[in-house]
Amino acid sequence: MSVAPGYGALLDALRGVSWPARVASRGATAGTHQSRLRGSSAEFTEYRAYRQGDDPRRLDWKLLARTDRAYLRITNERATLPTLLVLDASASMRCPADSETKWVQARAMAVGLAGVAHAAGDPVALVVPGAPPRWLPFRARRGVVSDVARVIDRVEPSGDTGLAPALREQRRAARVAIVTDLLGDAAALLRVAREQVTRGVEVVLVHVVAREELDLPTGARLAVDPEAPEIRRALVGATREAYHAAFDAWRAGVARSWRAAGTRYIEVVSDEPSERAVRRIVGTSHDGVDA
Amino acid sequence: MTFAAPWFLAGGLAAMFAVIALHFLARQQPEQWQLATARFVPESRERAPARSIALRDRLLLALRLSAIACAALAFARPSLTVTRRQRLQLIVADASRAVRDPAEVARIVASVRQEGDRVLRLGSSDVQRAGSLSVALVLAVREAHARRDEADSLAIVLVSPLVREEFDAATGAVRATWPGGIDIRRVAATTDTGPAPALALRAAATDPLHATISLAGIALRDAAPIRLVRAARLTVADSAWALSAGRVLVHWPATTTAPIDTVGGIVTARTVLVASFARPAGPRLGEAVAWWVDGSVAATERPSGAGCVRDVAVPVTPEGDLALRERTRDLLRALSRACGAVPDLRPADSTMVRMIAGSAPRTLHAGTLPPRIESGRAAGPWLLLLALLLLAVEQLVRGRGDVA
Repeated sequence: MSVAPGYGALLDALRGVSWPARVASRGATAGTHQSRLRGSSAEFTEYRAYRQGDDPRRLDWKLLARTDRAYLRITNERATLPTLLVLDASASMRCPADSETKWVQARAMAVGLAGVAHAAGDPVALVVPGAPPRWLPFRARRGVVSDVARVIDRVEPSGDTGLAPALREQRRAARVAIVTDLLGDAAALLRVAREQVTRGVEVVLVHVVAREELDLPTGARLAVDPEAPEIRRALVGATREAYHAAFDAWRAGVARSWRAAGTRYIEVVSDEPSERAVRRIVGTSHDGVDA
Repeated sequence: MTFAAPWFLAGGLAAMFAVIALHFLARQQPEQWQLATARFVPESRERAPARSIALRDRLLLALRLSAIACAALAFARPSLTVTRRQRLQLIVADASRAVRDPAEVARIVASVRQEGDRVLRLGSSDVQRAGSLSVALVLAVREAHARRDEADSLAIVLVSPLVREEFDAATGAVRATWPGGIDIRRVAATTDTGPAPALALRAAATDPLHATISLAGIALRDAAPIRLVRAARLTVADSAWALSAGRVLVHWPATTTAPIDTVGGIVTARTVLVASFARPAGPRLGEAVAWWVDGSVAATERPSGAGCVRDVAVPVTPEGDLALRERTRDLLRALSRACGAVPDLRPADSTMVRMIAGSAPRTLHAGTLPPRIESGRAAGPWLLLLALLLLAVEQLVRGRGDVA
């Protein structure tokens, strides 16, 4: 694994971590994931009686000679899993403005997932909607993780571009990892994700939440939405409690909706160690909880 | 420094306290903080009341207080005058011909006058001219307005005999412009200005006017300022004599030209003499002082240097008793008085005096008078300009600092 600048420690910590597919891949390229296809690899699965139209070259000639029955030797194919990373770079990802911990964590998630996927030989693509949109096509060659890191590092979160259009246009990915705070076009994104799941695409939603959004700082503040400056709310004692209640309820509802849509929903807090968060996402976390 | 409207200072002080209180109790806006999940905060007032312990913005506060102070000072109309006195008197001293004894006027003025008081003269330097009370009052009122900032109260003292000739049609209106009363110190008026107590007569010994002069009780002295000449023509010496101030040359020829017609009487300002006159040709051109009963001029007066020459074309013959009549003596007195119109030296009646004195208190508070429109020593406009400049700077500072 080539080391991307600034992410070396993370990628080193993720060395050896696999990201197994949760559904069989439809890909034909040989890889590490189980494929829906049956082929002629060395990994024997079963025999099947020959049917007209089968390729005679797949006949088990030795069995035919011993038993005079025509059987095909069925083996499991291993395929790659084209993985698309969709990274939210809207203005809300930049909060809190002073530390940008949410954006830092989101970048780490994207690079970490790219590193894990690339380690398994999976082609990795990147889409960062925005103005202008940034993207990288599916690549499996060396250096793709560095490319991903380089592209991401050039992005300055701004605007309120939604993720749904970018996700709707993708046709090749077998796995989609969406890194977002769900403060943009969450409803549209959920609809498109449901469509992707229906098409057999594995969808993973990484919901990045800033610690400051969970634990508001003390003192009277005037909260201003960076994507909607007209939203200006006073943070005082009463509104602070109401905020916590509403935010918790919203997060719980979002988690239910996305899981009900057949996606894998993982909430990542900005101050969580990135290596542990990636392990939770790919499903190899020791605690094995999706939060 | 004195203030014409000191209550503006109190108002400005109250406004300054209000601004200070507002700075302490400012309903300040909380610190802005970007929160991506701000939509989950329930809507409430953006401004939360907060009691600020320290002055919120000392520079802004200083600018605002300075602007208010300057504006209050400007509206209080300060004037950089000398020390303010308690009472200022404007003494109008009559110096006209109506005064019988100018020394009496000077004595009263000296007794009334205090340091800083202003003495105004009623009447011209020509003692033969009548004084105008209207003019004197206009000057006094104007002076009072001009010096209203120098004293707490003002008073007008009028030292005059108050004779009728000093009143005119405008006196009442002019008097109404002074809201206070007027302290009147009356002095004795001259009884009459003519005829002079003595005459210099140049006439023949048989002239009938000798009898008239004698009956009128007029003394004959060569040094008298009024000279009556009965000669047909005036001499150069007579004309030269009349050039001096106060001298009256009465040319009343004893022998007149051939009569034009007859006329039944002669009229002056004070007397009417009815007799049959053989009217001669008219006198020389001049201001008429006597008329025949049909309106034609019988006597004229014309200036001559500082004196005057009076031509009389009225025949007085030895025949008959014309020279002995009382009306003839009146005619003689009317024609041998001092130069100028016949003065009306009757004392003003009580109504006129009350009108001048008024019913208001004689001492008037200076604040009663309307403020002066212009004041060269007033600092008000400059203070107002400074207040505007301070407000402009306050706007700049507030715009730059984004503070309320």
